[in-house]
Amino acid sequence: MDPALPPGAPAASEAEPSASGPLAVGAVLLLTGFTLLWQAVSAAADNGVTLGGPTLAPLVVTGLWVVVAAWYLLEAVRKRVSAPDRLERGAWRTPVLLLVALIVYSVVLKYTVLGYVLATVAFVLVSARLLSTRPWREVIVRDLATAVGLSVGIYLLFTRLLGIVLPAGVLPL
Amino acid sequence: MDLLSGFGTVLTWENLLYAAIGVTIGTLVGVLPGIGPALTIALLLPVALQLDDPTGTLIMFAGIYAGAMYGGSTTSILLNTPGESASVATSIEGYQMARNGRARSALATAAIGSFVAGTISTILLAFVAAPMARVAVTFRASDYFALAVLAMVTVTAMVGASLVRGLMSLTFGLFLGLIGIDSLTGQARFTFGVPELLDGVDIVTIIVGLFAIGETLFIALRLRDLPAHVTPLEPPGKGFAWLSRSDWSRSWRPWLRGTALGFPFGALPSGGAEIPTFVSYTLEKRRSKHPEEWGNGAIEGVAGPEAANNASFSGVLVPLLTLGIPTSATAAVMLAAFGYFDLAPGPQLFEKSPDLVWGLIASLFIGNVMLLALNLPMIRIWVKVLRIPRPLLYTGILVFATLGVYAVSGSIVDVFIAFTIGVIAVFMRRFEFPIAPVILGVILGPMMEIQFRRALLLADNDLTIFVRRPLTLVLLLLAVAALGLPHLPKLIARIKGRESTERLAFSDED
Amino acid sequence: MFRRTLVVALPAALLLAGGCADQSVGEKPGSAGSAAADYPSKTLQIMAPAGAGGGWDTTARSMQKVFQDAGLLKNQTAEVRNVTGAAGTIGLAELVTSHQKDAHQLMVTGLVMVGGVVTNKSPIDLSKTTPIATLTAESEVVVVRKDSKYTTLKQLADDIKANPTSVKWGGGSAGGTDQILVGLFAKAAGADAKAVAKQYVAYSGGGETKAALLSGDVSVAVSGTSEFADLVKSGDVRALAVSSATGQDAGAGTPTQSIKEQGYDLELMNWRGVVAPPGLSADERTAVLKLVDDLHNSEQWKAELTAKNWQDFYKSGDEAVAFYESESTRIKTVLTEIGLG
Repeated sequence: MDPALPPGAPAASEAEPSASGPLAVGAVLLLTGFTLLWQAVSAAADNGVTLGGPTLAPLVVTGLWVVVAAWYLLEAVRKRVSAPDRLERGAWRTPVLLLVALIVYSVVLKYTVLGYVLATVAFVLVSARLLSTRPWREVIVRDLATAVGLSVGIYLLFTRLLGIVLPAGVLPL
Repeated sequence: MDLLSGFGTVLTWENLLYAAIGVTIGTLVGVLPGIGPALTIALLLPVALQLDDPTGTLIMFAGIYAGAMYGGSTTSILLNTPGESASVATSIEGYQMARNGRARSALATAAIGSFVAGTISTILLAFVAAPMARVAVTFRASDYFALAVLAMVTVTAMVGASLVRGLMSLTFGLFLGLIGIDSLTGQARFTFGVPELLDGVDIVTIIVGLFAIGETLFIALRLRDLPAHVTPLEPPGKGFAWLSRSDWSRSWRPWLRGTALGFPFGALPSGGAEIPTFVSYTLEKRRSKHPEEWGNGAIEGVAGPEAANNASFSGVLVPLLTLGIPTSATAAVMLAAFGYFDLAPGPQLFEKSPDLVWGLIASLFIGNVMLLALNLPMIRIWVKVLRIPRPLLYTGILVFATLGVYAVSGSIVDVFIAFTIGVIAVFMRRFEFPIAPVILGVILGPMMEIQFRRALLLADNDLTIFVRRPLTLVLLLLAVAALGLPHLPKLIARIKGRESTERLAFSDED
Repeated sequence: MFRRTLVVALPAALLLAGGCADQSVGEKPGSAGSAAADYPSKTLQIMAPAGAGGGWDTTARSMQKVFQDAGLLKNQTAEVRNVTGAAGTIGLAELVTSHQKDAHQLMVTGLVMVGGVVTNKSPIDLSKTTPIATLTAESEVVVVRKDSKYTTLKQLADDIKANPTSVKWGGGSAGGTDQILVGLFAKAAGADAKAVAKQYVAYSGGGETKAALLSGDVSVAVSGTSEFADLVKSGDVRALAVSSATGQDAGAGTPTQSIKEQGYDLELMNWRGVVAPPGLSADERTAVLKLVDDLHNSEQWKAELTAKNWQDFYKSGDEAVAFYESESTRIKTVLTEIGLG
């Protein structure tokens, strides 16, 4: 994934008391900064640095990154960065599951023959369930109606009116 | 008069209907997260072209344009999901207003501000386009560099409460701006071997990730702490058009100042719409008599940037119509559209086909009026979006965000990049890193770097290029002053708001 | 890395499940002999390897329109989809890796992709595809401001020969058609091509290039002829030469001489064409060729060319294969020489 904040970080800050959250963030930022700076330095070593060349700006920006990240870490060590509120145990589960649902949804869209409408109906149901705090029996009719309406509506709007191709899939649309 | 004859051809009941249809579908598509004005116009152009009547097509097109512009700000305000970079400044205070139950007032000041800015800047377009374009094209690479530096130091207010966190966000944005092929040498930077990164990370992908996806995942994180409903809506206050007397008196100056900033900036061939919105935000914040409201929904923070956004897009028409120079994605799409109307933008346009030009300008006026007429009542409906149960509302945002990125690029890698940025945005929200500076870095960083290097290359690596040109020197000195003297920024902001924008654009000292 | 694994592994697994079903439609075993008669037997997919609104996208959508309006698809339909990025090389990679042997997948391409393959060091080049035809082309134009000291191309050629850094050039993206022309022209003029090409400043799009020429940042601009036609017409800029084989009107109302006619052995057209995935059988290739031939011969296509102001530039079959190959070689050579390979 993107080097700036690997998804390993959330697990750490969940397990520990949240006061150490800023410390972890600062450490990740600083490490990322050094990694990127190293990339910039190697590119500069390969191609040389000139004022008008393409290697100067990466050096400046990643250098700035390292300095600011170190500054942030220092502030965190001195406990001058306000730590976020403590979350309930398991609070991270919802966003993580939602993210997984999103990834599966887009992969299904791109690489299977399920098609836009069915994939979206499934995603809407899963996502609405994840974000809901009410028992599913109370909302399933509403959710299902929304899922079908939204996905068919988008499909028709985009393919018929706007000329953007969405995968039709197995449905005879 | 020419404009009157333009209105003469345009004003029929049939055309008004076309304008209404254009505004409506433009708004409806424009509100979708991740789909900004340029894309909206590109997508809807074929709809307008289905009409046989060229005047009708033109006027429907103007309606789509106005609707698309406004639609973007609606979702920025209601849901904090801007669809393009020029709406980011609007979303900062606008979303806070919506959260505090003042969504109606925020939408109203945005709509009326759009109308005011659109109308004034269209009048300016009609009368000063030609001379203004001639001045605007005298700006050189070194001037643009100086302008970007000046913008960077004036918009420090966007950095927020904590300097270190604001700087970190800014640096992250600067870094995102570096990713991809260097446009001057073709050398790849920070692409990590992923071919999809060669073109850089698209600003729409970044915005969708930071806002739509980041916001939703953050909501998911705090699900149990949140009230059952999205936003309690205060009863509409007394006053005209959803705005109280005090709202009106606090909005009209920002509208005018936003217009004064946006129009000349938009007219610059490498100007763009983002910088004036950010400068307008900063300016209004500095001038505000209610500093305590900023961050909690200050109406000036919606009125100013929204006016600047709309005015800058009319400004974009100046070089587009008079010199055939498109200066933004929206303008490039419009240039393609003009081709269908046999409207060949360029120096002869005003002489050769005055009917079409004045028809277009009259159409823009009517599109604006129609926008106001339709959207003020529509506010009643838009705010109902906030009554949609939270699970469905945010699910819808995710669906549209994915669609916006995927349908446009056809690339699943872009979708994953948006998700990644969304995850980063959750941590930024949790640890209170401000979001707006990221956009600032993405926009201003590349502009500064490329113009700096262009200027150097063109001057055979002679650094004195930055002090030899009077305009460059003046802009850089202003920037140094703004940075060096803590009390001076206020003064400059004041000068900038009143005269300096005009003077910048009309400068003919070289 | 996580993303790369995901991008490669997951789709591969899903493709097994999904792709097979997709391909089996309409490809009866043993029907190869009558491929041309059956083709197309399902929805024709035309990929525009760039975003909506650009040249490739417009070409793809014009093709789609003409295919359908002229009734060439035997009751099937055509769809256009956009795959953006890296001068089209991302779309190219997708065509070659995920749509092998599928005659119903076509992709719009052009000179820009030939250059993009070289500058982006793309592992997949156009030789991996089945070239079908070239369709349209636009000439390039070399322009200067009206107050420029250059009134002929020869003065410009002599200047860069004497001092390669004396001229600042402006044009589109690095390694694109415009810079390729600058490199080729420097070579033809006998100048140091690498040194000349280093004086080239890349702008994002014709608009910025125009502004840079007018503001005096660059002294010579290179772009597609349509881009500068209005400024040439108004007299704000002067066209020194066009890059087509013979002269043509660059906006002034009278033909501007071509580079070749002015004594420099160089011709460069910014062409667009269409390719199919690799691995087509001879019959399938013939069927696709016939379809594109019919497209080109249709009245609707001629009308589309007029409406879009495109020059007809049709080469098909083996002629197209040879042309794709010679262009690839020539462009790769010049880009390597000017240090962008």
